[in-house]
Amino acid sequence: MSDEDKLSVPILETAADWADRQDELTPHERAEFRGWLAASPAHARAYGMMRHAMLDTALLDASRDVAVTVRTRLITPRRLAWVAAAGMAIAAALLVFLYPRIPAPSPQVAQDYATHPGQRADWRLADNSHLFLNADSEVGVQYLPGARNLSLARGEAIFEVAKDPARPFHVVAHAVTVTAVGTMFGVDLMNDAIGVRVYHGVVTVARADAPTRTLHKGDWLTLDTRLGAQSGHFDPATYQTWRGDWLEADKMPLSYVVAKLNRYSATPIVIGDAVPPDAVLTGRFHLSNTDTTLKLIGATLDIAAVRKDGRITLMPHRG
Amino acid sequence: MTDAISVLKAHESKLLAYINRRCRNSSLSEDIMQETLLRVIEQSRKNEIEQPLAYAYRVADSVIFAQARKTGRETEIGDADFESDVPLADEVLEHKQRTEIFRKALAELTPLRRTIFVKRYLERKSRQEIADEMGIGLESVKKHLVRAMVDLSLATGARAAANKKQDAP
Repeated sequence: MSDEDKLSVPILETAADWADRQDELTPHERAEFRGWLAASPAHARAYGMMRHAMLDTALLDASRDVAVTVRTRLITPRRLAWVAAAGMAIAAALLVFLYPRIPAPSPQVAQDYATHPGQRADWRLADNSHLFLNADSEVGVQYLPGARNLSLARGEAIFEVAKDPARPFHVVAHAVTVTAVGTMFGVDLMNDAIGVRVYHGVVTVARADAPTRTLHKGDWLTLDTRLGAQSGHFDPATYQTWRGDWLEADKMPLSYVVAKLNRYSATPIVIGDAVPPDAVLTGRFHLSNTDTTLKLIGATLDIAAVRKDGRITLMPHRG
Repeated sequence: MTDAISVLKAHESKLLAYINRRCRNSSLSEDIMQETLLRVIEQSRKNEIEQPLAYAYRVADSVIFAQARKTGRETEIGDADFESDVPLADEVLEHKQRTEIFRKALAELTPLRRTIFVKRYLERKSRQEIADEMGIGLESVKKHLVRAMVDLSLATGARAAANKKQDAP
């Protein structure tokens, strides 16, 4: 095969030499390298192949194994034991550090559950319902004999409701009331909008000035004071992704994305006047990695994130 | 700049599948994907990228490797935007399989060649340092090193991918 001829051993060796010296080339040598690369497609392929192999972490692992087989002989059993003990101590310290503090639920009185920016938590409530709070969110819980009344003060929460037909489960968010019997649903306060997602069962959504709507498993509804009501379907199995650090946006308005980012950002993010808050975004965004996500959003919408006066303002990009 | 991104968006799932196979810890894939997109955007602001997709795959390799090595210093991606075959995710072996193949290939090298390769690749010593340590000539270090690299790169069937005709988009 002619391709075999082109990628002859001498070409591969030259490619290996260039790949190995890539980080140390002088400007003159770099020009030479480019000339070599451009001289033949076979050169470029050989170089691509060499680079592909050398940048393989599997090769890194295999080489480490080779190096380790030489070194383990030098470590005495006693020292190994010390290394293991140190490792366990670090793991234990991490566990203590990462484990969320869970306040004991008190069924008689109203209780507030809140998370700090960047922190998520979940609680089992007195009736065995589960409350999952996203970062920078707050829920008030009041259990009465005939009703379970909850209110979302800010942020986003998911409720996995224990069945109790005698005591309906109400979640109030601003002027909207979401009611469930036994189901799992999420309520999300995003600036001027309230989002509801149903992961399991049925809920009703009521607002004083609008007819009550019924949502089934896989339905989402957003009530926005400016954009009005929007609804659609999602895959309820995506519930788990909610618990991660990733936002899956599908034509989501910038203002919603910013509201969600603000739950993780140490510095408040605001949308500048000249930027349309309804510009839509699609893609996966890392919520706790604010800088990277803002750069990505900036590149997509051609806007810049400007840090000033203790806040990050999104502004039109200036060429 | 949005051109490169729109090309990549269309191939997002393929690129992610590739990253999944390529890196050791697939829980980092999303981060690597994000970082890769960001780098491509930054580069496309400076220069027009002729092969955004091929370029993205090379950036992904570089990001994965830099992360595994945990050095502040990034591997030079190379400013040359050369054309190369876009690997298909299902042609990339699992990480474990590739580690095993490399392990075997390393074992098959002569001890001298293996030592020189490890000193250069893992311990990042200069060719001159290795020559001094081992009491051999610089040209000899180079010869053993590039031979080792060729043997290793041929081992994973990377050659098959490299020889494959450019039928990828």
